Amino acid sequence: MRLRRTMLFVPGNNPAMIQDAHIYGSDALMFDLEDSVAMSEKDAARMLVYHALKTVPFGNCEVVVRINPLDTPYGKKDIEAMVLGGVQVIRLPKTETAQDILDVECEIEKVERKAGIPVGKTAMMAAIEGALGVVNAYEIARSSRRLIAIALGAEDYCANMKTSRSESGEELFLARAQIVVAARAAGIDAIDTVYSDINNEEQLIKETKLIKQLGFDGKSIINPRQIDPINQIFTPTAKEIEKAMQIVEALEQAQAKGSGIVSLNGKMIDKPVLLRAQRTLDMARASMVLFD
Amino acid sequence: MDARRLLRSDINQYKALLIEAGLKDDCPSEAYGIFDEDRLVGAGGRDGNVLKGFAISPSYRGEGLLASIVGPLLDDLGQEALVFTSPASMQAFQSLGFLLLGSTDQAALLTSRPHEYRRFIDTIKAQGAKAAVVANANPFTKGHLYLITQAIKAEGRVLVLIVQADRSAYPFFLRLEMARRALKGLDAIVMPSGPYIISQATFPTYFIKDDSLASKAYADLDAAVYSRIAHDAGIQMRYVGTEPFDKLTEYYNQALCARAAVTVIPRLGQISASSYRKTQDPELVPSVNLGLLDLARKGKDKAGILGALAREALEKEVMLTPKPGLVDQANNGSHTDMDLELFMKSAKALQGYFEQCARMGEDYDGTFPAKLREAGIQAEEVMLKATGGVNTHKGAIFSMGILCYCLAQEPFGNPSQRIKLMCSSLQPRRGAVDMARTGYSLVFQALSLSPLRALAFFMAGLDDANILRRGGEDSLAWTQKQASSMLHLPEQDLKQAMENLDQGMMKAGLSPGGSADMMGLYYLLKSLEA
Amino acid sequence: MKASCAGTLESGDIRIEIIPGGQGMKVELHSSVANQFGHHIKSILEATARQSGLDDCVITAVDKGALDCTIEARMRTAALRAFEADPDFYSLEMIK
Repeated sequence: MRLRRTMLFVPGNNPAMIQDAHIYGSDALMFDLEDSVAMSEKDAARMLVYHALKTVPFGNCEVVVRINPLDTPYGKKDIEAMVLGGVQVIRLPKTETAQDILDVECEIEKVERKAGIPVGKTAMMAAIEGALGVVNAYEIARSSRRLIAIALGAEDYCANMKTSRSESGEELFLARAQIVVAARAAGIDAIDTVYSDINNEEQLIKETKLIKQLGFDGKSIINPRQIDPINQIFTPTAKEIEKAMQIVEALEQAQAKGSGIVSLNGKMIDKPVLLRAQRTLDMARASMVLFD
Repeated sequence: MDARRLLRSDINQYKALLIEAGLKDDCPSEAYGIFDEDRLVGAGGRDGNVLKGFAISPSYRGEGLLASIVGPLLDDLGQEALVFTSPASMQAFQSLGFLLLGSTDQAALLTSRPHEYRRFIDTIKAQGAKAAVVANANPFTKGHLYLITQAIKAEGRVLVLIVQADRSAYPFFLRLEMARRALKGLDAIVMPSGPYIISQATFPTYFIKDDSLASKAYADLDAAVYSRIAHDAGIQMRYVGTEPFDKLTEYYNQALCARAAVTVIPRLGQISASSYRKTQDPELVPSVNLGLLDLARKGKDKAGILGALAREALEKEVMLTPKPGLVDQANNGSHTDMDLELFMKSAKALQGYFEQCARMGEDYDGTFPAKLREAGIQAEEVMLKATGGVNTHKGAIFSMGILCYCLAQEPFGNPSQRIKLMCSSLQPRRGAVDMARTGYSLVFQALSLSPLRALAFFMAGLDDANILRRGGEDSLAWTQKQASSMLHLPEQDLKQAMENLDQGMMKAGLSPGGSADMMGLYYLLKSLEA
Repeated sequence: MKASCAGTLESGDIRIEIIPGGQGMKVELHSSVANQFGHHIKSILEATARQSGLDDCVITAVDKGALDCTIEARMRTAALRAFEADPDFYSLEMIK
């Protein structure tokens, strides 16, 4: 399984940050060509990220690039450069409808065909950053086979909702719930928004626990300092792993006996519990805390 | 931390930062700053091409903030930047690629483009002079001439650097030309002083004759920069005149003596540029420059002077008599809707436009700029308003506008190649456009002729659209033939022939307006020969 | 063609200026690692500049420890800006 606990946001026109981004241990890197790049530097950032994709080894990190929307003068060129550069995932900001995704997919496919890249190789991710996107979340999530995840962008969303972010996060409740449900229904991942006060680790931990509880797969982050606390929360504890291993062992024993009923310590185990245990072990393996 | 351009609302924070760094709190016109959250922790700015006002909050020093401020300032400027800074910050700028040009214990000057400095040095070296004079020449006097002649006697070839900064009573282009003309025939090489010595960046107080402590610090730094340039360019001796009046110049001479080889020549009598400015006594200046000093009275800067000369040229053109078929002092030619007075009015109204063209011409880059076209369209409206709807100078707006634009770069040079290059993109068309496309070569050929003969020369050589429009090809051929037959007549006969042709053209209703426009250009170029 | 620049003076970056004119290409480099890598950096700048169609110009570069790919990217950006042109990533692919 592909972990997406932490996705580190990296401004696309900053060579020092781009070249070092993969050493901090986040699961994914998101090079940004959009909001963190001034209009006058769009060309420079695109060229820089293209060359970095070609030559810098980013280790095990999944490499995502956030492009400019297609209704800007930069979107199409961004797609061309990134697909040719061999990016794994293209992230579309401010997604409002399934059509937005189809339009980007169409552009990606054109480039793949022209360049002889297997069609479908480039994956996609959609950021939902407004009320309309939240309403359309499920249609967006199922719009393309390239989509691997949908993400919430809370700053724009809050502005659009005529509210602002709070510590407790009530204002995001519906959006988060809707997005995670849509992602699960479509069988893809759900990524939560950034937490921007890098000095407040306590609140970061609180928020991360909340979104993990809601069912999210991970969180976007803006500073490497946020990686460890979040990864820890998403990584199963030794106790959870032990419990899960017992459950899975019990399943294997039952299967060996040809029995359809799995029980542990005299208690019958339901299918959801089994699935969760399976997932815990997958997470543990992917997080390198469990080796077979 | 974020870097961005400072806004008006940041000024108080910027001033506090400057004071904290022990600097004066005058903020440059443009500045960038680094913010930690909402707090300004580092900033710097520029006035023109001079970077200044750098201050970084003590707890943020050593984090490379300077780079995030300097980079965007250089990007915006897009040309060589000079930094005037404290010796303590010298190294920080050197690590950003700046070249140190000179330093004292109080200040340092650096350039962002080392190669431009080296190119400047190479140009000086190529002149093969071992001695130099630096003069503001405001204006060039017999005192300058004496000093330079003495230097030549002692050293052979002398390099004469004329202060380039346009901050004096006489504009730079005239000061340079005065030196050139006064030194013609002597072994002196006249050049602009470049951006490094006595410039707005290095010595701003030179131009206001402020002899405060700060001003002396500038003088010291300028002397240090000069000594480096002299060393790099192989200049072994600087000549200066004794300075009995001005304290700052005297201090500057001392500062030079402390750092470089200097010969001080006793001043010739009481001659000085300032005494000329007071008395306007023609005895104080080389007589060859009297014409240029007259030009100086016509406007306060280059564009102002060119604008005034362009207007005068149009006035001279209409005054020239006899002109066949055209409005002149004798008659209104083949025109019923205009007279001499109307032309005078129109020329006056267009002076501002010509000045504007000359000002825009500073940006000449070989292309025909849209802004020149737009200015021309507006000028036509100005003309029509001044004349009550009569088209007096439409052709002149086009051709004189182009000439003023192209003269701005080098008013005393030959702008023909510049015009040709710039107009090569215009769609060919008989008449005014084709003349522009040749770089007005006919006009430059005609400069050695008397005005009447030049007019005949234009009428003989031009496909005049005005004649074509009124009389067709036959009339054009006839006019050209008539005009060419007079080209070699003696002046008195030429005048008579012109008068005869005037009658003929009036009868035929023809008017060589295109040739009149060329006469305007002729007069402008002639006035620059003064 | 016009004068242009690209890149910043920040650590890990390189700032490049192109000034058109002169005869041939002249590359001027300022770098704290000029002794060890000066030749290498200049060769990347020159090769990339030629690929980008530059010939008569002065290229000045202030290097703050940029990786090869950053040097190449900044050089290309500066060249495209000088020509006021859009990049063609397909032909870049051919070169690489």
